[in-house]
Amino acid sequence: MNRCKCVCLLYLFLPILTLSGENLTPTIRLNGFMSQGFIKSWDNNFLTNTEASGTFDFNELGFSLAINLSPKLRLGFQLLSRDFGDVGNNRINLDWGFFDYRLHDSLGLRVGKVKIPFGLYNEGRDTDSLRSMVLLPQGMYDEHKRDNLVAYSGLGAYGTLFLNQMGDLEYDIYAGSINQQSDAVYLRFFTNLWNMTVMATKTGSPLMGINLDTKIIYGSRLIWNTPLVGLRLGGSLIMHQSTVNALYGSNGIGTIENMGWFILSAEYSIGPLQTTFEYSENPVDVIINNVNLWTDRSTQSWYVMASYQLGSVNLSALYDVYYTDKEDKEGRYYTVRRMPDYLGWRKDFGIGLRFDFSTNILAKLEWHSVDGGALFLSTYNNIPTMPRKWSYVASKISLRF
Amino acid sequence: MTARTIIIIIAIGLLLVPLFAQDLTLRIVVHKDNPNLSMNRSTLKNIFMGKRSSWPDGSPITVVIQKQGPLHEHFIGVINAISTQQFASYWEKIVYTGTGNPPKAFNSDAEVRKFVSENAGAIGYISDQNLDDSVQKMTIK
Repeated sequence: MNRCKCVCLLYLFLPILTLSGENLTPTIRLNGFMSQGFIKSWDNNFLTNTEASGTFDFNELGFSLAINLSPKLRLGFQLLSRDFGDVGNNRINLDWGFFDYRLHDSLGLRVGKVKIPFGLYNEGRDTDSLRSMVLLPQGMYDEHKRDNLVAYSGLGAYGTLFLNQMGDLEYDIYAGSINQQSDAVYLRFFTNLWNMTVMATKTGSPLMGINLDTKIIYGSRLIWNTPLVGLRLGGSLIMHQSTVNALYGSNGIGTIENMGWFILSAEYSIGPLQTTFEYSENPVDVIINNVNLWTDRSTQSWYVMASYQLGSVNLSALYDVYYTDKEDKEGRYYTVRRMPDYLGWRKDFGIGLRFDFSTNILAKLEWHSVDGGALFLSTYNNIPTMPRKWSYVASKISLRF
Repeated sequence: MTARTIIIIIAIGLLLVPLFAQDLTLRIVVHKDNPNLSMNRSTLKNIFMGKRSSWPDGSPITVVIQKQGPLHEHFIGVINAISTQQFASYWEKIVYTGTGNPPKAFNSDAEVRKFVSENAGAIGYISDQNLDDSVQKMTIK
């Protein structure tokens, strides 16, 4: 989406800010947000073509409506338009929309399209004001895998179990399906991997692309708000199975299975300081045309993030590590295929600043220094010449009500 | 103990006086007909974080906060032990993921008191000096 459209939307949006996100009526509430960002990288393209002159193809626009049908029953939905390079392209999609029946504080049910509760921050990945930094730690919340994580359509149960002096437990469990957009980068990655395999082995036919039909996704999250004030611990698990179809070709040519993608989380807040540590492994099997394209491997990632609130300013620092295969941290899988070993890892150090001008407007700026080319970087760069070390800056301004 | 030490202790004490004074001015208020006039701090925190949504008789709780100001900051810090930004972010996440109802927010003690007096399930906070007989105060154990 070009800058002109964003400015026009801004002028359309500004009067709506006067609503301040309050109820339109006692039972109906309207909220919304808009963000416009810029990313510029050096030495490698990142998430899209960002090296030459950067990109403004980086925005989100959302409107939500929530209706209290009764004290226990709510209906709500949010429309989202986003653009991230050549993904999204400001299509308007239903971000979430569901009925929520809260039978009791310890048990509620949600039916519809619901943001997936995964890790501490996944639900906030599309709303800029919910994050200290422009991007969530990519090793954990990779933008390329967004379609796998953004929302499920199905049934979920949730609630809080009060443990007296031991704090409380928040739980979510769910099952359903997910909608994978055909322009998802990780689908291009596996298409490229298949085509490279065809070239190397001289068997099979190359693919124009692939898309997925997800048979089922199910998962759960548990967060323990401990008796130590400010400390919460969590664990999340996702499993899903999808059928691979060829774009402009046959259906059912393979499968992609996540056999237990988990995150362990810890967050501690004391006064203005908040620190977070999360660790994740993701065993995934990819089989195309009966070829084990990616099997018996598990990714491994972890990050440490700290943020400090000083009045309206929030300062953040992040160290984020990702390995394509936890048993192959040296990248031997790539070197035997005459590719750079650093495609096997990515280590990102970032510092950021967020300024809240008011309750409606905020701005962010951050800088990252990165070692490695994992997480689909090869999709945007020429593998033989892509440098190991690179950097990027990202900025965003957001309005919300 | 030297004179310098005594002066330092008195200065620290004077700095702490406003905190204690603020502690005395904060009152949790509920509707006149609400029989729940005592609550522990943990339950109060869970109410204002949206984790408890019903009174013991099953009737719904309506949470009322103030949009900003020293009383709001003090309440969030003392009861919830987090910053106002963290409290705001917590409820923003709930709003933008559709997973709950945010509290009603008002600009002053008078507006909070009026709303609580007119809504049977409401709970809010005001300063002690603005307490009157249109609402009841709740004791926090």
